[in-house]
Formats: sequence, C-alpha cells, structure tokens
Amino acid sequence: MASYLSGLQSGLKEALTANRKVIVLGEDIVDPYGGAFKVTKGLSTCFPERVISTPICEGGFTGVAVGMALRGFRPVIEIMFGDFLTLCSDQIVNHMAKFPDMYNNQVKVPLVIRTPMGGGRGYGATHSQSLEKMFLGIPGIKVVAPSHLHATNDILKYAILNDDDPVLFIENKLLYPLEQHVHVFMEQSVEISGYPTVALRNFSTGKPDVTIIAYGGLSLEIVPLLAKLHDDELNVNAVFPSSLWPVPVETLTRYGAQCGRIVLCEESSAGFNWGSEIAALLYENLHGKLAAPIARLASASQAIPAARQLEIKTLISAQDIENAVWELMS
Amino acid sequence: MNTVVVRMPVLNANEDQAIIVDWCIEDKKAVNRGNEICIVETTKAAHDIVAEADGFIRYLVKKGQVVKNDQLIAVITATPNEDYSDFITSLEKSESATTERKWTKKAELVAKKLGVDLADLTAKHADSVITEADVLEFNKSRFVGKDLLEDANPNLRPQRILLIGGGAGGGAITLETLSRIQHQRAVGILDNNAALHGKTIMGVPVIGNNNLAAELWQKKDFDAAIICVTASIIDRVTIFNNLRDQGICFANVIDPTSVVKSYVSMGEGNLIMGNAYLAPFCVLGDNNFLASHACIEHHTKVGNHCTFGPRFTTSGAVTIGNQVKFGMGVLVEPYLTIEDSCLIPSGCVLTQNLPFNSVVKMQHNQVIKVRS
Repeated sequence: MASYLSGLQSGLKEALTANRKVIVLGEDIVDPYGGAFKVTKGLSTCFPERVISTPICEGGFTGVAVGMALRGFRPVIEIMFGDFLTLCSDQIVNHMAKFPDMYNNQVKVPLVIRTPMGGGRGYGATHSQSLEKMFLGIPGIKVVAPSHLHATNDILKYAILNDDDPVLFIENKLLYPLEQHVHVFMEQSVEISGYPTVALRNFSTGKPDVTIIAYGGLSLEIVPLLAKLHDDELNVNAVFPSSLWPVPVETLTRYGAQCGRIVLCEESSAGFNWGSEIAALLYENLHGKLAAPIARLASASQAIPAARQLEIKTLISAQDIENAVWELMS
Repeated sequence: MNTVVVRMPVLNANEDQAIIVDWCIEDKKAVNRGNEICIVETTKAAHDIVAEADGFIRYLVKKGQVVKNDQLIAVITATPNEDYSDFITSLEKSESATTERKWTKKAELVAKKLGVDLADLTAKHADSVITEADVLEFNKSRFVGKDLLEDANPNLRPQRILLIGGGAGGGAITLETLSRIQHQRAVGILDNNAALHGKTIMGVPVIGNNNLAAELWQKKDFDAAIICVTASIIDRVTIFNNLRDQGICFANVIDPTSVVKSYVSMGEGNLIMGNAYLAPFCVLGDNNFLASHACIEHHTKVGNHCTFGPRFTTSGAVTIGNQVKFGMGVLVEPYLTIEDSCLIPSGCVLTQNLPFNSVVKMQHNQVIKVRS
C-alpha cells in the first residue's frame, strides 16, 4: 500500500518514464536533498536532464514552464510552499490560464503546478496557509487537492500525462507520511475525468444522518472522527472531492440529498471560501430538500501563529467538525 | 513542595526528538529555578533545558539517549532521596484516563427530543452504554395505557389488555375480537419479533419483547394479559408460568359471537374465538385457546394450556387433560378421557380413551369389507 508521499513520488517517476516530454522544475528538488518534502527524491538521479533545480524565483520558472508547455512539453513545477503561489500568480492567472482561450484553442498549456499547503507543523503565518481558494473559479485552470483516501499516484499521473489543461495540484503537508486509507465502506465516483470523489461512510446499512464534505488534509481529522461518531450511533458519510475546481456538483448534490444535513469543512481561513461556492450550488440544487441550513467550517480569519497551542486554536479541528455535526442534529 | 516534571520541549518544527548530550547537574543534586539541567541536541542546534522549580534533580533517562518530544526527562523532588514512583504512576494513569461513557450522543439527543430522562435508564443499563434503541424502547413503554380520561377513572374504565406474542395471526384475531368487546381494550402488544417493534397493528403499538411484560405490569400500564401464541403449546405454557410467577393477572377474552351458557366454570387466560359454544356445566381451566366454532358440550372438563382447532366438537361429559393439542374438526365421543399432552390431528373421530402423551394417526380409506 502506498503512502500519500510515495504515491506522488512514484506518480512523478512513472510520468517521467512514460513520456519524454515530461520535465520537472523547482527549488532544491534534485538529489541528495530531493525537495523540501522529498516528493522528488531520487528523480534527478534517474532523470538528470529532466529534473532541474531552479533559482529562488517562482515567477520566473513558472513562466519558463508555461512557455515549455506551449511548445509541446508537459512540465511539472514544484512550488516549495503553497504560500509562495502569490509570487507566481501573474503567470498562473494572466498567462497559464488564458493562453488557450486567447489563441482560440490553437495552443495548449499542459502544465502541472504542485505545491504543499496547510498548517499543523508550527511553520508560522507564511508557510502554513491554505491559499488554494485564491485560484478557485479562474477560467481555464483546474485546482486539484487529493485527500489521503485518494490514490495520489493515479491522480498526479493523470494530471501530468492526460490532462491538457493547466492543473494546480495541491498537496497537504500532514498527509505526506500517511498510508492511503482504504475501507470497504468507501466508494468512488468520477464526475470530473481523472479526479475522483471518494466517499467514506461509518455505517453498513441505512441512510446517513449527516454528510460531511471536505477535501485535502482534513481527511486526517475526519477519518478518526467517523469512528468516534459511529460509537455515538451517528451515521455519517464523509465525501472528499479531489477536484475543487471544476466542482463535481452532481456528485456532491447526490450525497447531500441523502440526508439533507451537510457540513462543509476546509482548512483555509474563513470568508469567501470553497465552501461558500459549494453551499450556494447545493442550495440551488437541493432547495426544499434540506433538513437544516448547510454548516460551513473553516479556520479562524487571522494569521496562523507558529506557537503550537495558538496554531491549534486557529486551525479548524476535528472537535469543531464534531460540534457542527451535533448542532445540525439537534 | 510538589514533585515537578521536566519534559523534552519541542525545539524544532521539523523534528519530534532530540539527543541528551550531557547533564549539567549530577543526579540527586540540588537545583534552583533557572539552573541549566542538561544539554540536548537536534539536527540543527544544541539547547539548554533549565529547571522550572527549586529542588533535587532525578533523571529518568540516560545520557546519549534519544528522547521524544514531551517525553519525561527528569523530575524535581523536594528531598534528594524521595520515592517518586507513585507520582509517575499517577501521572501515567491520569494521561491515559478516558472518561467512561454512560450513553451515546445519539441516545442523548433522542432522549432530549422525547423528554426522556437518561437517569431513569442508567440503573437498568449499569453495565452497558445506553443506545438510541434503549431510549426508544423506554419511551414506548412510558406511554402504554396512559389515557387522560380513563386513567382519571380507573375503576370504571374497560379492562386494559396486553397481548403477549401478539405479532402474528393469533394476535390479529384477538385484536379484532377485543375491538368488539366493550368491557376490554387492547393497550399494547408484545412480540419477540424485533422487526415489529415500534409499529402498530390495528392501531395498537407493538412495544417490545415478551419479557417487557413484568416492567409494564409494575408500572400498572395494563390490567391483564392474554397469550396469543397458538402454534406452540410449550411456548404458551412457558410464557404463562413466567408471567404468573411475576404476579401478572390474565384475562379471558371471549368473542361476543360465541355462546357461554349458564353454569360454565372458567379459569383465566382463555382465548375463545367467534361462534364457539360452551355448554352448561362444562369446566375450562387456564390458558386454553378455542378457535372459531369450537364446541365444548355439557359436563365436559378441560384442563390447562390446551388448543382447539376450528370446528372441534366434544360430546357430553368428556374429560380432557392439560396441554392437549387438537387439530381442526376433531370429534370426541361422550364420556371419553383424553389424558395430558396428547396430539390429535385434524378430522379425527375419537372413539376411545387416550393415555398420557398419545399421538393419534388419522386413518383414511379404511376398507371394512369388499362387496361381492
């Protein structure tokens, strides 16, 4: 069984093996260091000409990668911390996303930007954020964020080799060491080709009382929470889309309709979130079918402290989710 | 002074352990708050750990050892040779202690909605966690027989009947009979088929398993029971004896279309269906079931726990023991004695006495003579 990290490592390696047009760029990604989170470990030894360390210049090498993608490569770039996406957002928003439309689809930008997001490691305000919400809704790009219930190998490989659209690929720092969580009460739906939504329930038969919809690193909190809620006799279905944008709206609607009580969770700071859009879509599709207003949870709207206890208080927790679930039930 | 613990602090966000490089103070020696105790090293730097209290240092790990974040490194005691083992034990205990749950949160939620006080259930569920099902079960039993008008005039109300084993056909025909009787009223059904619990039959709730009768009886939720099991005599006997041991009263439920003549004597717990006929001077014990059109002729005596199929007929002065099972349409000649536990199939014509535990076989097409 692969871990979140080893799935990414092997996904990259298999993509480099499968297509000589795949090239990997990023800061400190070559051996022996192998990247800040070791996702590229070993790759430069196997593919020295196609795994290249760059200067500390996110905007520059993102632009280089966009150009390479325009001219037939399938580049993958690593942004060491997701917080640094702000440095390359001009390339992402004004170039990568727009070229196919601006050139009447005569060009493609098959570029994957990989980057880790999320807190929980005491890295402080500028290395712990979940900034993916800044890129949701931009036409022309996809934003993908697998949980540890997803096979990261398959998803990353699909994004590199099969997806001709630019993909912002969000990883989670705390998930890297985790084995992929597999359970018989898990089912997978593929509404957005290549980017499955996984649902894990904590009951064998019957209907859920509550549906939790979340993505990425929150699977770490939610999987044990499901077991706890099972002990408290609450039937819960936890749904993890790997595609944040575009939204697998039919799949989420189907799960939401099963019980009419929905909790949306994300780690980013509160206000104008992924959950805001999902809630709006679900309200449109489930008008009159909801048993309670949709609950939306996120982290506190403030800078993330480095001190451990303060960071815990700032970020969304399993306890927050559990409280919201029972609030919906009462 | 209380014993104070010294733990490995988190020194680096990327590491969960450090190495003890050296002690700054010897074991059991005095330390003052702020003194350096030891030097620890991560992959990035060496750090001093300082005492947070005055006392005597007592090391729990060895020099050179790799220590996890939050792991105990030492304790600081008030005296140099104090025994701190109990302190460590209680510390470990309090860290591993989990609060014991008395009920699930779902049970708590449902109880709140239904107005059930979970304290009422804790005695019965002292050894187990109270579940949602327990609360629902308790809630159902709370409302049996509670009636705003009838309970205000208990002496004048119809007798409240609880049907035991009433989830199948026997229960249905009993309910139909009770619906046409003015002096009795069905208030609840017990049945061991859990699939029926929480549902109603002819508007009467199926409350729980048969063994719930004692609890309902103690709460005075019914006045008398009737057993509706017809297929198994053993079950009828067991249930009857159990309930009677607990002081529960039984009703005779007699369909209004049946005829019970004068001078008939009857025990309790008898269930007598439509168009049955009990002739003068016959005697019926306890817990018998008479299906429709059963006829017990004059001076016939019936024991306890017998079942009679439809159109059973005795002639006069027959004696029937206990736990005898008759099929449909059995005919019994006068003056015969049928002893306990006999089994007589449908259509038999009994012309001779049956000893204890007899099983009768019906002979069809018996050739008595061949015509010339």
